[in-house]
Amino acid sequence: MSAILKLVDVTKQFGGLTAVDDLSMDVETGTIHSLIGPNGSGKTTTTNLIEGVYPVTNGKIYFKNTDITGKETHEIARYGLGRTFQNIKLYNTMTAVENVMVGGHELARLGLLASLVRVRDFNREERMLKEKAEELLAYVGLSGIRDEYVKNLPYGKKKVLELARALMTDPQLLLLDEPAAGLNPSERSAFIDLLNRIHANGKTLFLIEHNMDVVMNISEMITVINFGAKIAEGTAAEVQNNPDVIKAYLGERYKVKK
Amino acid sequence: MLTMKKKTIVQLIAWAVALAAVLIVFKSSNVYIQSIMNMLMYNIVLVLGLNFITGLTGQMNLGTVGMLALGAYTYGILTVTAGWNPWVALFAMFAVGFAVGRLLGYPSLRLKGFYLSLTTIGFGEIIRLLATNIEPLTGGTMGFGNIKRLSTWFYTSQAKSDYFYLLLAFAVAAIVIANRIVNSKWGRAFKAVRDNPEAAEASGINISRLKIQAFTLAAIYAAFGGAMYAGYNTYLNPSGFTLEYSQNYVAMLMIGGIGTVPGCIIGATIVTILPEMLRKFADYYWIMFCTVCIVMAILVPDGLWPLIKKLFARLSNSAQKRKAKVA
Repeated sequence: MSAILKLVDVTKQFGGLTAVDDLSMDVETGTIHSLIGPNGSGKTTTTNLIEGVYPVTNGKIYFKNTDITGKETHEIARYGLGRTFQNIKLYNTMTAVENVMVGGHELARLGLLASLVRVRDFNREERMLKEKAEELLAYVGLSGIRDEYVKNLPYGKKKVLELARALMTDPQLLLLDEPAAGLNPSERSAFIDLLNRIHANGKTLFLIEHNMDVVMNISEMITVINFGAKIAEGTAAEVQNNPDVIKAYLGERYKVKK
Repeated sequence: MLTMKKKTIVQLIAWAVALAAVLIVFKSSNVYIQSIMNMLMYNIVLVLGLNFITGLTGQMNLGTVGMLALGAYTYGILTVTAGWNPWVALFAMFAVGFAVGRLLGYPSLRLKGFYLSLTTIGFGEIIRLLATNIEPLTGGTMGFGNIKRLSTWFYTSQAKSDYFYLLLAFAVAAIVIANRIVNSKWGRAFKAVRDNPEAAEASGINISRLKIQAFTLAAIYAAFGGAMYAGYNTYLNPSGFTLEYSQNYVAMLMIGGIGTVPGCIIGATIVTILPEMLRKFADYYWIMFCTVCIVMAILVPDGLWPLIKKLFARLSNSAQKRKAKVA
Protein backbone atom coordinates (compact mmCIF):
# COMPACT_ATOMS: atom_id res chain seq x y z
CA MET A 1 0.00 0.00 0.00
CA SER A 2 1.12 3.47 -0.70
CA ALA A 3 0.15 6.75 0.83
CA ILE A 4 -2.17 8.83 -1.36
CA LEU A 5 -1.67 11.85 0.88
CA LYS A 6 1.51 12.46 2.79
CA LEU A 7 2.26 15.30 5.20
CA VAL A 8 5.92 15.73 6.11
CA ASP A 9 6.80 17.98 9.06
CA VAL A 10 4.08 20.47 8.23
CA THR A 11 4.09 23.60 10.35
CA LYS A 12 1.82 26.61 10.16
CA GLN A 13 2.34 29.73 12.20
CA PHE A 14 -0.05 32.68 12.35
CA GLY A 15 2.22 35.35 13.77
CA GLY A 16 3.33 33.98 17.14
CA LEU A 17 0.69 31.26 17.24
CA THR A 18 1.65 27.83 16.02
CA ALA A 19 -1.59 26.34 14.67
CA VAL A 20 -0.02 23.21 13.20
CA ASP A 21 3.19 22.01 14.76
CA ASP A 22 5.52 19.69 12.87
CA LEU A 23 2.72 17.38 11.78
CA SER A 24 3.59 14.28 9.75
CA MET A 25 1.05 11.74 8.67
CA ASP A 26 0.22 9.32 5.85
CA VAL A 27 -3.22 8.63 4.46
CA GLU A 28 -3.02 5.18 2.88
CA THR A 29 -4.76 4.60 -0.44
CA GLY A 30 -8.19 3.04 -0.06
CA THR A 31 -8.67 3.64 3.65
CA ILE A 32 -11.01 5.71 5.74
CA HIS A 33 -8.71 7.90 7.79
CA SER A 34 -9.94 10.32 10.44
CA LEU A 35 -8.29 13.34 11.92
CA ILE A 36 -9.67 14.20 15.33
CA GLY A 37 -8.81 16.57 18.12
CA PRO A 38 -10.42 18.99 20.58
CA ASN A 39 -11.71 22.41 19.50
CA GLY A 40 -8.94 24.66 18.26
CA SER A 41 -6.47 21.81 17.87
CA GLY A 42 -5.70 22.74 14.26
CA LYS A 43 -7.87 20.30 12.31
CA THR A 44 -9.41 22.84 9.97
CA THR A 45 -6.08 24.62 9.54
CA THR A 46 -4.60 21.28 8.48
CA THR A 47 -7.32 20.85 5.83
CA ASN A 48 -6.76 24.37 4.61
CA LEU A 49 -3.03 23.67 4.29
CA ILE A 50 -3.68 20.50 2.32
CA GLU A 51 -6.11 22.39 0.07
CA GLY A 52 -3.65 25.21 -0.48
CA VAL A 53 -5.88 27.85 1.09
CA TYR A 54 -2.98 29.00 3.29
CA PRO A 55 0.69 28.59 2.47
CA VAL A 56 2.59 26.32 4.87
CA THR A 57 5.28 27.89 7.05
CA ASN A 58 7.39 24.77 6.82
CA GLY A 59 7.18 21.21 5.57
CA LYS A 60 5.93 19.39 2.48
CA ILE A 61 2.62 17.92 1.36
CA TYR A 62 2.51 15.15 -1.24
CA PHE A 63 -0.56 13.93 -3.09
CA LYS A 64 -0.10 10.75 -5.13
CA ASN A 65 3.66 11.26 -4.77
CA THR A 66 3.43 14.73 -6.34
CA ASP A 67 4.56 17.69 -4.31
CA ILE A 68 1.50 19.94 -3.94
CA THR A 69 3.03 22.33 -1.40
CA GLY A 70 2.38 25.91 -2.45
CA LYS A 71 0.09 24.97 -5.34
CA GLU A 72 -3.16 26.85 -5.77
CA THR A 73 -6.45 25.41 -4.52
CA HIS A 74 -7.92 24.83 -7.98
CA GLU A 75 -4.74 23.07 -9.16
CA ILE A 76 -4.80 20.76 -6.14
CA ALA A 77 -8.46 20.01 -6.81
CA ARG A 78 -7.57 19.02 -10.38
CA TYR A 79 -5.06 16.45 -9.12
CA GLY A 80 -8.03 14.51 -7.75
CA LEU A 81 -8.65 15.88 -4.29
CA GLY A 82 -12.31 16.63 -3.63
CA ARG A 83 -13.64 18.27 -0.52
CA THR A 84 -16.72 19.26 1.44
CA PHE A 85 -16.86 22.12 3.89
CA GLN A 86 -17.53 22.39 7.59
CA ASN A 87 -20.19 25.05 7.04
CA ILE A 88 -21.93 24.12 3.82
CA LYS A 89 -20.77 26.03 0.78
CA LEU A 90 -23.25 25.59 -2.05
CA TYR A 91 -24.40 27.89 -4.84
CA ASN A 92 -27.69 29.19 -3.51
CA THR A 93 -29.04 30.71 -6.71
CA MET A 94 -28.77 27.43 -8.62
CA THR A 95 -30.74 24.20 -8.59
CA ALA A 96 -29.45 20.99 -7.05
CA VAL A 97 -28.49 19.45 -10.39
CA GLU A 98 -26.74 22.66 -11.51
CA ASN A 99 -24.74 22.69 -8.28
CA VAL A 100 -23.47 19.21 -8.99
CA MET A 101 -22.75 20.12 -12.62
CA VAL A 102 -20.43 22.93 -11.52
CA GLY A 103 -18.32 20.23 -9.89
CA GLY A 104 -17.70 18.86 -13.38
CA HIS A 105 -16.46 22.14 -14.81
CA GLU A 106 -12.99 20.73 -15.41
CA LEU A 107 -14.29 17.48 -16.93
CA ALA A 108 -15.67 19.44 -19.87
CA ARG A 109 -12.53 20.42 -21.71
CA LEU A 110 -13.65 23.01 -24.26
CA GLY A 111 -12.51 26.59 -23.67
CA LEU A 112 -14.79 29.61 -23.77
CA LEU A 113 -14.22 30.44 -27.43
CA ALA A 114 -14.22 26.80 -28.52
CA SER A 115 -17.55 26.23 -26.80
CA LEU A 116 -19.09 28.98 -28.94
CA VAL A 117 -17.59 27.73 -32.20
CA ARG A 118 -17.73 23.94 -31.83
CA VAL A 119 -21.44 23.80 -31.14
CA ARG A 120 -21.92 20.07 -31.49
CA ASP A 121 -18.96 19.06 -29.31
CA PHE A 122 -20.07 21.53 -26.70
CA ASN A 123 -23.63 20.23 -26.66
CA ARG A 124 -22.23 16.74 -26.18
CA GLU A 125 -20.16 17.91 -23.23
CA GLU A 126 -23.13 19.65 -21.67
CA ARG A 127 -25.19 16.49 -22.03
CA MET A 128 -22.40 14.44 -20.50
CA LEU A 129 -22.22 16.78 -17.49
CA LYS A 130 -25.97 16.65 -17.01
CA GLU A 131 -26.16 12.86 -17.23
CA LYS A 132 -23.27 12.42 -14.83
CA ALA A 133 -24.78 14.90 -12.37
CA GLU A 134 -28.13 13.12 -12.50
CA GLU A 135 -26.45 9.76 -11.99
CA LEU A 136 -24.66 11.11 -8.93
CA LEU A 137 -27.86 12.58 -7.52
CA ALA A 138 -29.46 9.18 -7.88
CA TYR A 139 -26.41 7.57 -6.25
CA VAL A 140 -26.66 9.76 -3.15
CA GLY A 141 -30.47 9.53 -3.14
CA LEU A 142 -31.37 13.08 -4.09
CA SER A 143 -33.06 12.49 -7.47
CA GLY A 144 -36.32 13.82 -6.06
CA ILE A 145 -34.97 17.33 -5.55
CA ARG A 146 -32.92 17.71 -8.72
CA ASP A 147 -34.67 20.89 -9.89
CA GLU A 148 -35.12 22.38 -6.44
CA TYR A 149 -33.24 25.59 -5.66
CA VAL A 150 -30.57 24.99 -3.04
CA LYS A 151 -31.71 27.81 -0.77
CA ASN A 152 -35.00 25.93 -0.26
CA LEU A 153 -33.35 22.67 0.81
CA PRO A 154 -33.13 21.43 4.42
CA TYR A 155 -29.71 21.23 6.08
CA GLY A 156 -29.35 17.45 5.85
CA LYS A 157 -30.01 17.39 2.11
CA LYS A 158 -27.53 20.21 1.56
CA LYS A 159 -24.79 18.17 3.25
CA VAL A 160 -25.46 15.23 0.95
CA LEU A 161 -25.65 17.51 -2.09
CA GLU A 162 -22.24 18.95 -1.25
CA LEU A 163 -20.88 15.43 -1.20
CA ALA A 164 -22.40 14.76 -4.64
CA ARG A 165 -20.74 17.88 -6.00
CA ALA A 166 -17.39 16.77 -4.59
CA LEU A 167 -17.84 13.35 -6.25
CA MET A 168 -18.54 15.09 -9.57
CA THR A 169 -14.88 16.14 -9.79
CA ASP A 170 -13.91 12.43 -9.95
CA PRO A 171 -11.66 12.63 -6.88
CA GLN A 172 -9.47 9.80 -5.65
CA LEU A 173 -9.34 11.30 -2.19
CA LEU A 174 -12.32 12.94 -0.53
CA LEU A 175 -11.56 15.35 2.25
CA LEU A 176 -14.63 15.76 4.44
CA ASP A 177 -14.59 18.54 7.00
CA GLU A 178 -17.03 17.59 9.78
CA PRO A 179 -19.50 15.75 7.54
CA ALA A 180 -21.75 14.69 10.41
CA ALA A 181 -22.00 18.07 12.11
CA GLY A 182 -25.59 19.19 12.56
CA LEU A 183 -27.17 15.98 11.32
CA ASN A 184 -29.80 14.24 13.44
CA PRO A 185 -29.17 10.57 14.42
CA SER A 186 -31.16 9.06 11.54
CA GLU A 187 -29.58 11.40 8.98
CA ARG A 188 -26.21 10.57 10.47
CA SER A 189 -26.60 6.83 10.08
CA ALA A 190 -27.79 7.33 6.47
CA PHE A 191 -24.75 9.50 5.89
CA ILE A 192 -22.42 6.85 7.32
CA ASP A 193 -24.02 4.29 5.00
CA LEU A 194 -23.38 6.61 2.08
CA LEU A 195 -19.75 7.13 3.11
CA ASN A 196 -19.28 3.38 3.35
CA ARG A 197 -20.77 2.96 -0.12
CA ILE A 198 -18.45 5.61 -1.55
CA HIS A 199 -15.52 3.91 0.14
CA ALA A 200 -16.57 0.53 -1.24
CA ASN A 201 -16.51 2.09 -4.71
CA GLY A 202 -12.80 2.76 -4.36
CA LYS A 203 -12.46 6.24 -2.93
CA THR A 204 -10.11 7.10 -0.12
CA LEU A 205 -11.84 9.13 2.58
CA PHE A 206 -10.14 11.58 4.91
CA LEU A 207 -12.49 12.77 7.65
CA ILE A 208 -12.05 15.68 9.97
CA GLU A 209 -14.62 14.88 12.59
CA HIS A 210 -15.87 15.72 16.03
CA ASN A 211 -18.55 13.11 16.32
CA MET A 212 -17.09 10.01 18.00
CA ASP A 213 -19.99 7.87 16.88
CA VAL A 214 -18.98 8.42 13.26
CA VAL A 215 -15.23 8.32 13.79
CA MET A 216 -15.06 5.15 15.86
CA ASN A 217 -17.50 3.27 13.65
CA ILE A 218 -16.03 3.72 10.22
CA SER A 219 -12.40 4.79 10.51
CA GLU A 220 -9.68 2.30 9.76
CA MET A 221 -7.03 4.70 10.99
CA ILE A 222 -7.29 7.65 13.34
CA THR A 223 -4.84 10.48 13.88
CA VAL A 224 -5.33 12.59 16.99
CA ILE A 225 -3.88 16.07 17.22
CA ASN A 226 -3.83 18.60 20.02
CA PHE A 227 -2.36 22.11 19.88
CA GLY A 228 -1.42 21.35 16.28
CA ALA A 229 0.81 18.39 17.12
CA LYS A 230 0.13 14.70 16.66
CA ILE A 231 -0.42 12.95 19.98
CA ALA A 232 -1.61 9.55 18.84
CA GLU A 233 -2.26 7.44 15.76
CA GLY A 234 -3.76 4.00 15.30
CA THR A 235 -7.00 2.07 15.07
CA ALA A 236 -10.10 3.09 16.97
CA ALA A 237 -9.36 0.73 19.84
CA GLU A 238 -5.74 1.83 20.12
CA VAL A 239 -6.60 5.50 20.14
CA GLN A 240 -9.41 5.07 22.66
CA ASN A 241 -7.05 3.55 25.18
CA ASN A 242 -4.25 6.02 24.68
CA PRO A 243 -3.74 8.03 27.92
CA ASP A 244 -2.66 11.17 26.03
CA VAL A 245 -5.86 11.14 24.01
CA ILE A 246 -8.00 10.73 27.09
CA LYS A 247 -6.10 13.54 28.76
CA ALA A 248 -6.57 15.85 25.77
CA TYR A 249 -10.27 15.14 25.49
CA LEU A 250 -11.26 14.84 29.14
CA GLY A 251 -8.69 16.99 30.90
CA GLU A 252 -5.79 16.43 33.27
CA ARG A 253 -7.97 15.58 36.27
CA TYR A 254 -9.44 12.47 34.75
CA LYS A 255 -6.96 9.69 35.41
CA VAL A 256 -6.90 6.70 33.15
CA LYS A 257 -8.33 3.68 34.90
CA LYS A 258 -5.78 0.97 34.93
CA MET B 1 -44.12 18.96 -17.65
CA LEU B 2 -42.99 20.02 -21.07
CA THR B 3 -40.29 17.90 -22.59
CA MET B 4 -36.97 19.53 -23.44
CA LYS B 5 -37.62 19.50 -27.17
CA LYS B 6 -41.06 21.04 -26.84
CA LYS B 7 -39.59 23.66 -24.54
CA THR B 8 -36.98 24.73 -27.07
CA ILE B 9 -39.62 24.88 -29.81
CA VAL B 10 -41.82 27.07 -27.62
CA GLN B 11 -38.83 29.28 -26.89
CA LEU B 12 -37.93 29.59 -30.57
CA ILE B 13 -41.50 30.56 -31.43
CA ALA B 14 -41.49 33.14 -28.63
CA TRP B 15 -38.25 34.67 -29.94
CA ALA B 16 -39.57 34.68 -33.54
CA VAL B 17 -42.80 36.41 -32.46
CA ALA B 18 -40.81 39.00 -30.50
CA LEU B 19 -38.57 39.64 -33.52
CA ALA B 20 -41.54 40.01 -35.85
CA ALA B 21 -43.21 42.38 -33.38
CA VAL B 22 -40.07 44.53 -33.24
CA LEU B 23 -39.95 44.74 -37.04
CA ILE B 24 -43.65 45.60 -37.32
CA VAL B 25 -43.39 48.28 -34.64
CA PHE B 26 -40.33 49.72 -36.36
CA LYS B 27 -41.97 49.83 -39.80
CA SER B 28 -45.14 51.46 -38.53
CA SER B 29 -43.63 54.09 -36.26
CA ASN B 30 -42.31 57.60 -36.73
CA VAL B 31 -38.69 58.74 -36.82
CA TYR B 32 -38.65 59.58 -33.10
CA ILE B 33 -39.68 56.10 -32.01
CA GLN B 34 -37.34 54.59 -34.59
CA SER B 35 -34.40 56.46 -33.09
CA ILE B 36 -35.31 55.15 -29.63
CA MET B 37 -35.41 51.63 -31.04
CA ASN B 38 -31.96 52.13 -32.51
CA MET B 39 -30.67 53.20 -29.11
CA LEU B 40 -32.32 50.17 -27.60
CA MET B 41 -30.33 47.86 -29.89
CA TYR B 42 -26.93 48.99 -28.67
CA ASN B 43 -28.18 49.27 -25.09
CA ILE B 44 -29.18 45.60 -25.22
CA VAL B 45 -25.70 44.63 -26.37
CA LEU B 46 -24.08 46.68 -23.59
CA VAL B 47 -26.26 45.36 -20.81
CA LEU B 48 -25.77 41.77 -22.00
CA GLY B 49 -22.04 42.38 -21.68
CA LEU B 50 -22.40 43.91 -18.24
CA ASN B 51 -24.46 40.90 -17.24
CA PHE B 52 -21.42 38.61 -17.59
CA ILE B 53 -19.36 40.49 -15.06
CA THR B 54 -21.88 42.16 -12.75
CA GLY B 55 -24.92 39.95 -13.19
CA LEU B 56 -23.31 36.52 -13.23
CA THR B 57 -19.86 36.90 -11.68
CA GLY B 58 -21.00 39.51 -9.17
CA GLN B 59 -18.21 42.05 -9.72
CA MET B 60 -19.76 45.52 -9.68
CA ASN B 61 -18.72 47.35 -12.82
CA LEU B 62 -19.56 51.06 -13.03
CA GLY B 63 -17.19 51.65 -15.92
CA THR B 64 -19.39 50.38 -18.77
CA VAL B 65 -19.39 53.81 -20.33
CA GLY B 66 -15.58 53.80 -20.44
CA MET B 67 -15.60 50.53 -22.39
CA LEU B 68 -18.35 51.95 -24.63
CA ALA B 69 -16.37 55.14 -25.26
CA LEU B 70 -13.20 53.24 -26.06
CA GLY B 71 -15.07 51.12 -28.59
CA ALA B 72 -16.84 54.10 -30.11
CA TYR B 73 -13.72 56.29 -30.40
CA THR B 74 -11.59 53.44 -31.72
CA TYR B 75 -14.19 52.72 -34.38
CA GLY B 76 -14.45 56.42 -35.24
CA ILE B 77 -10.71 57.00 -35.43
CA LEU B 78 -10.11 53.85 -37.46
CA THR B 79 -12.83 54.60 -40.01
CA VAL B 80 -12.32 58.36 -40.35
CA THR B 81 -8.73 59.24 -39.44
CA ALA B 82 -7.16 55.99 -40.59
CA GLY B 83 -9.73 55.44 -43.33
CA TRP B 84 -10.32 51.76 -42.65
CA ASN B 85 -13.24 49.83 -44.00
CA PRO B 86 -15.92 49.90 -41.25
CA TRP B 87 -16.19 46.09 -41.29
CA VAL B 88 -12.48 45.74 -40.65
CA ALA B 89 -12.72 48.35 -37.92
CA LEU B 90 -15.46 46.26 -36.35
CA PHE B 91 -13.01 43.39 -35.89
CA ALA B 92 -10.68 45.74 -34.03
CA MET B 93 -13.35 45.74 -31.33
CA PHE B 94 -12.16 42.28 -30.30
CA ALA B 95 -8.71 43.72 -29.65
CA VAL B 96 -10.15 46.66 -27.69
CA GLY B 97 -12.29 44.25 -25.69
CA PHE B 98 -9.34 41.99 -24.92
CA ALA B 99 -7.14 44.87 -23.81
CA VAL B 100 -9.80 46.44 -21.58
CA GLY B 101 -10.85 43.08 -20.18
CA ARG B 102 -7.29 42.39 -19.06
CA LEU B 103 -6.82 45.96 -17.83
CA LEU B 104 -9.90 45.83 -15.59
CA GLY B 105 -9.78 42.13 -14.89
CA TYR B 106 -6.46 42.17 -13.05
CA PRO B 107 -7.46 44.77 -10.46
CA SER B 108 -10.63 42.77 -9.86
CA LEU B 109 -8.52 39.87 -8.60
CA ARG B 110 -7.23 41.99 -5.74
CA LEU B 111 -10.11 44.38 -5.15
CA LYS B 112 -13.53 43.48 -3.86
CA GLY B 113 -16.88 45.23 -3.52
CA PHE B 114 -16.77 48.99 -3.16
CA TYR B 115 -13.10 49.21 -4.01
CA LEU B 116 -13.64 47.53 -7.35
CA SER B 117 -16.66 49.74 -8.08
CA LEU B 118 -14.53 52.82 -7.41
CA THR B 119 -11.78 51.50 -9.66
CA THR B 120 -14.24 50.99 -12.52
CA ILE B 121 -15.75 54.46 -11.97
CA GLY B 122 -12.20 55.81 -12.15
CA PHE B 123 -11.62 53.90 -15.38
CA GLY B 124 -14.74 55.42 -16.97
CA GLU B 125 -13.74 58.93 -15.90
CA ILE B 126 -10.18 58.51 -17.16
CA ILE B 127 -11.44 57.48 -20.59
CA ARG B 128 -13.83 60.43 -20.67
CA LEU B 129 -11.11 62.90 -19.65
CA LEU B 130 -8.72 61.44 -22.21
CA ALA B 131 -11.38 61.83 -24.89
CA THR B 132 -11.87 65.45 -23.80
CA ASN B 133 -8.19 66.33 -23.71
CA ILE B 134 -6.44 64.45 -26.52
CA GLU B 135 -7.90 66.92 -28.99
CA PRO B 136 -5.88 66.07 -32.10
CA LEU B 137 -7.13 62.49 -31.93
CA THR B 138 -10.64 62.78 -30.53
CA GLY B 139 -11.68 66.32 -31.36
CA GLY B 140 -12.02 67.09 -27.66
CA THR B 141 -15.17 68.90 -26.55
CA MET B 142 -15.89 69.89 -30.14
CA GLY B 143 -16.68 66.26 -30.81
CA PHE B 144 -15.71 63.76 -33.45
CA GLY B 145 -17.89 63.70 -36.55
CA ASN B 146 -18.50 62.16 -39.98
CA ILE B 147 -18.10 58.60 -38.77
CA LYS B 148 -18.77 56.07 -41.47
CA ARG B 149 -21.57 53.55 -41.18
CA LEU B 150 -21.25 49.92 -42.06
CA SER B 151 -22.62 49.18 -45.49
CA THR B 152 -24.14 45.91 -46.64
CA TRP B 153 -25.66 44.50 -49.76
CA PHE B 154 -29.14 45.66 -48.86
CA TYR B 155 -28.08 49.01 -47.64
CA THR B 156 -25.42 51.35 -48.92
CA SER B 157 -26.93 54.76 -48.31
CA GLN B 158 -26.13 56.68 -45.18
CA ALA B 159 -29.82 56.76 -44.27
CA LYS B 160 -30.46 56.32 -40.59
CA SER B 161 -33.66 54.33 -40.86
CA ASP B 162 -32.24 51.31 -42.68
CA TYR B 163 -29.34 51.11 -40.29
CA PHE B 164 -31.73 49.69 -37.74
CA TYR B 165 -31.81 46.28 -39.45
CA LEU B 166 -28.08 45.95 -39.12
CA LEU B 167 -28.19 46.97 -35.45
CA LEU B 168 -31.04 44.52 -34.91
CA ALA B 169 -28.98 41.74 -36.49
CA PHE B 170 -26.05 42.57 -34.18
CA ALA B 171 -28.34 42.63 -31.16
CA VAL B 172 -29.84 39.27 -32.10
CA ALA B 173 -26.36 37.77 -32.54
CA ALA B 174 -25.35 39.20 -29.16
CA ILE B 175 -28.47 37.69 -27.58
CA VAL B 176 -27.87 34.26 -29.12
CA ILE B 177 -24.24 34.16 -27.96
CA ALA B 178 -25.05 35.49 -24.50
CA ASN B 179 -27.88 32.99 -24.14
CA ARG B 180 -25.51 30.19 -25.00
CA ILE B 181 -22.88 31.29 -22.51
CA VAL B 182 -25.34 31.98 -19.69
CA ASN B 183 -27.06 28.60 -20.00
CA SER B 184 -23.91 26.52 -20.14
CA LYS B 185 -21.06 25.46 -17.90
CA TRP B 186 -19.63 28.98 -18.30
CA GLY B 187 -22.74 30.65 -16.95
CA ARG B 188 -22.83 28.17 -14.09
CA ALA B 189 -19.15 28.71 -13.30
CA PHE B 190 -19.58 32.51 -13.34
CA LYS B 191 -22.48 32.17 -10.92
CA ALA B 192 -20.49 29.75 -8.78
CA VAL B 193 -17.74 32.36 -8.41
CA ARG B 194 -20.37 34.89 -7.32
CA ASP B 195 -22.20 32.58 -4.91
CA ASN B 196 -19.28 30.83 -3.29
CA PRO B 197 -15.73 31.32 -4.56
CA GLU B 198 -14.11 28.87 -2.10
CA ALA B 199 -16.38 26.06 -3.25
CA ALA B 200 -15.76 26.91 -6.90
CA GLU B 201 -12.01 26.66 -6.32
CA ALA B 202 -12.44 23.30 -4.62
CA SER B 203 -14.15 22.10 -7.82
CA GLY B 204 -11.00 22.94 -9.74
CA ILE B 205 -12.25 26.23 -11.18
CA ASN B 206 -9.56 28.85 -11.69
CA ILE B 207 -11.34 31.89 -10.28
CA SER B 208 -8.79 34.46 -11.43
CA ARG B 209 -8.96 33.24 -14.98
CA LEU B 210 -12.74 33.13 -14.94
CA LYS B 211 -13.06 36.69 -13.63
CA ILE B 212 -10.76 37.96 -16.35
CA GLN B 213 -12.76 36.02 -18.93
CA ALA B 214 -15.97 37.60 -17.65
CA PHE B 215 -14.43 41.07 -17.79
CA THR B 216 -13.14 40.39 -21.30
CA LEU B 217 -16.56 39.24 -22.49
CA ALA B 218 -18.11 42.37 -20.98
CA ALA B 219 -15.50 44.57 -22.63
CA ILE B 220 -15.89 42.94 -26.06
CA TYR B 221 -19.65 43.36 -25.86
CA ALA B 222 -19.24 46.98 -24.76
CA ALA B 223 -16.71 47.72 -27.52
CA PHE B 224 -19.11 46.29 -30.11
CA GLY B 225 -21.90 48.33 -28.55
CA GLY B 226 -19.58 51.33 -28.90
CA ALA B 227 -19.02 50.65 -32.59
CA MET B 228 -22.79 50.33 -33.08
CA TYR B 229 -23.25 53.59 -31.18
CA ALA B 230 -20.62 55.42 -33.21
CA GLY B 231 -21.95 54.07 -36.49
CA TYR B 232 -25.48 55.07 -35.63
CA ASN B 233 -24.84 58.54 -34.22
CA THR B 234 -21.91 59.28 -36.61
CA TYR B 235 -20.83 61.83 -34.02
CA LEU B 236 -19.12 61.40 -30.65
CA ASN B 237 -18.78 63.84 -27.79
CA PRO B 238 -17.22 63.22 -24.36
CA SER B 239 -20.37 64.61 -22.70
CA GLY B 240 -22.16 61.49 -23.90
CA PHE B 241 -19.93 59.27 -21.77
CA THR B 242 -20.58 60.38 -18.21
CA LEU B 243 -20.97 58.18 -15.15
CA GLU B 244 -24.77 58.39 -15.18
CA TYR B 245 -24.86 56.21 -18.29
CA SER B 246 -22.86 53.51 -16.52
CA GLN B 247 -25.40 53.67 -13.71
CA ASN B 248 -28.17 53.31 -16.26
CA TYR B 249 -26.75 50.01 -17.43
CA VAL B 250 -26.64 48.71 -13.86
CA ALA B 251 -30.24 49.89 -13.45
CA MET B 252 -31.19 47.93 -16.58
CA LEU B 253 -29.69 44.78 -15.07
CA MET B 254 -31.42 45.32 -11.76
CA ILE B 255 -34.84 46.13 -13.18
CA GLY B 256 -34.85 43.34 -15.75
CA GLY B 257 -33.45 40.56 -13.64
CA ILE B 258 -29.81 39.98 -12.84
CA GLY B 259 -28.08 37.08 -14.54
CA THR B 260 -30.69 36.26 -17.17
CA VAL B 261 -30.73 37.13 -20.88
CA PRO B 262 -34.48 37.91 -21.14
CA GLY B 263 -34.06 40.02 -18.00
CA CYS B 264 -31.36 42.08 -19.71
CA ILE B 265 -33.59 42.68 -22.72
CA ILE B 266 -36.55 43.70 -20.55
CA GLY B 267 -34.36 45.97 -18.42
CA ALA B 268 -32.74 47.60 -21.44
CA THR B 269 -36.16 48.22 -22.99
CA ILE B 270 -37.59 49.81 -19.86
CA VAL B 271 -34.61 52.00 -19.04
CA THR B 272 -34.30 53.14 -22.67
CA ILE B 273 -37.97 54.00 -23.09
CA LEU B 274 -38.84 55.26 -19.61
CA PRO B 275 -36.72 58.45 -19.76
CA GLU B 276 -38.34 59.32 -23.08
CA MET B 277 -41.78 58.92 -21.57
CA LEU B 278 -40.78 61.03 -18.59
CA ARG B 279 -39.34 63.78 -20.76
CA LYS B 280 -42.44 65.93 -20.34
CA PHE B 281 -41.63 66.33 -16.66
CA ALA B 282 -38.50 68.23 -17.73
CA ASP B 283 -36.55 69.16 -14.61
CA TYR B 284 -38.32 66.56 -12.52
CA TYR B 285 -37.45 63.74 -14.90
CA TRP B 286 -34.47 62.42 -12.90
CA ILE B 287 -36.51 62.46 -9.69
CA MET B 288 -39.23 60.41 -11.34
CA PHE B 289 -36.78 57.98 -12.90
CA CYS B 290 -34.85 57.43 -9.68
CA THR B 291 -38.09 56.97 -7.74
CA VAL B 292 -39.14 54.26 -10.16
CA CYS B 293 -35.75 52.56 -9.73
CA ILE B 294 -35.94 52.69 -5.93
CA VAL B 295 -39.50 51.38 -5.85
CA MET B 296 -38.51 48.53 -8.17
CA ALA B 297 -35.49 47.69 -5.99
CA ILE B 298 -37.74 47.43 -2.94
CA LEU B 299 -40.72 45.65 -4.49
CA VAL B 300 -39.00 43.37 -7.01
CA PRO B 301 -35.37 43.06 -5.90
CA ASP B 302 -34.80 40.12 -8.25
CA GLY B 303 -36.04 42.08 -11.25
CA LEU B 304 -39.01 41.64 -13.53
CA TRP B 305 -38.03 38.49 -15.42
CA PRO B 306 -38.22 36.06 -12.46
CA LEU B 307 -41.66 37.57 -11.72
CA ILE B 308 -42.83 37.00 -15.30
CA LYS B 309 -41.44 33.48 -15.25
CA LYS B 310 -43.33 32.69 -12.06
CA LEU B 311 -46.51 34.05 -13.61
CA PHE B 312 -46.06 31.87 -16.70
CA ALA B 313 -45.42 28.81 -14.56
CA ARG B 314 -48.60 29.45 -12.59
CA LEU B 315 -50.62 29.92 -15.78
CA SER B 316 -49.34 26.73 -17.40
CA ASN B 317 -49.88 24.83 -14.15
CA SER B 318 -53.50 25.92 -13.86
CA ALA B 319 -54.02 25.12 -17.55
CA GLN B 320 -52.69 21.63 -16.97
CA LYS B 321 -54.94 21.19 -13.97
CA ARG B 322 -57.94 22.19 -16.06
CA LYS B 323 -56.90 19.72 -18.71
CA ALA B 324 -56.57 17.00 -16.07
CA LYS B 325 -60.07 17.77 -14.81
CA VAL B 326 -61.58 17.48 -18.29
CA ALA B 327 -59.80 14.19 -18.94
